[in-house]
Amino acid sequence: MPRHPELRWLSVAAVVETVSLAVLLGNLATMHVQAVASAVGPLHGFSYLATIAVAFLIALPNRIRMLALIPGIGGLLVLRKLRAVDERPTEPDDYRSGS
Amino acid sequence: MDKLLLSLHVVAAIVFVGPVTVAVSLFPRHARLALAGDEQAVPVVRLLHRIARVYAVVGLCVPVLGVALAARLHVLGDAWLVISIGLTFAAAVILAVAVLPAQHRAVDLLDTSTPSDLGRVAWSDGSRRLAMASGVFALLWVVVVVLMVVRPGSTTGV
Repeated sequence: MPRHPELRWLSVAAVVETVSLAVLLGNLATMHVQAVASAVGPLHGFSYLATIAVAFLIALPNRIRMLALIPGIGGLLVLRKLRAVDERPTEPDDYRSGS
Repeated sequence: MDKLLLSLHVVAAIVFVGPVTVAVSLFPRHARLALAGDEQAVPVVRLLHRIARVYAVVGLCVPVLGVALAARLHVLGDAWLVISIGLTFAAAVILAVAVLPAQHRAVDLLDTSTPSDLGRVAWSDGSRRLAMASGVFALLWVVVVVLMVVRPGSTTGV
């Protein structure tokens, strides 16, 4: 599978997706500050949609692409799967540094 | 917070969705020229496709901010908003299913074929459908913007 420059986009969106969800849940469990929920909520929604959009725009196998739909951790699952696919051939790993 | 969300929503709509609409409407004509052998049109086509793709992804923040704002203002059930959301969804589907894949095929053909190839001729024949989808996309946005400005029946005053 060729190295894709847009994979960096995917990793950024995936990290924001998971981190923002963690912040939201942490906020809910502790202080429950309304302002935090209002600010981070849209950020999480956007990063979730952006992860899916990028996964469907770049050239990926459909099976891996579908993982992006999983809420919260979909993007990271896609990246993990891609690394696993990448490590199988004998060629040196290109993705590892990007994620 | 309401005014901040509203400002972000409007700025994002202008800055992110505007370029997508322009790039999408310019693409079919320039793609036809490029596929017919006009060398000058080739980089234009690549740039337009890139703008359409990148800004479409970034533009996803517009509906997200909009829904967050509507939830705060308790207007998510209002008719004008439900219709707007439906039309936005339709525009997004047209972009994702019809416009961007057709653009991608055109850019692919530029990379892999010569002006006399049958694939190019076939694409040019089909480009009227892309032009139509692009026009419908732009029209849907106009309707959504008008609904957002007029907000028939709204009493939020924001």
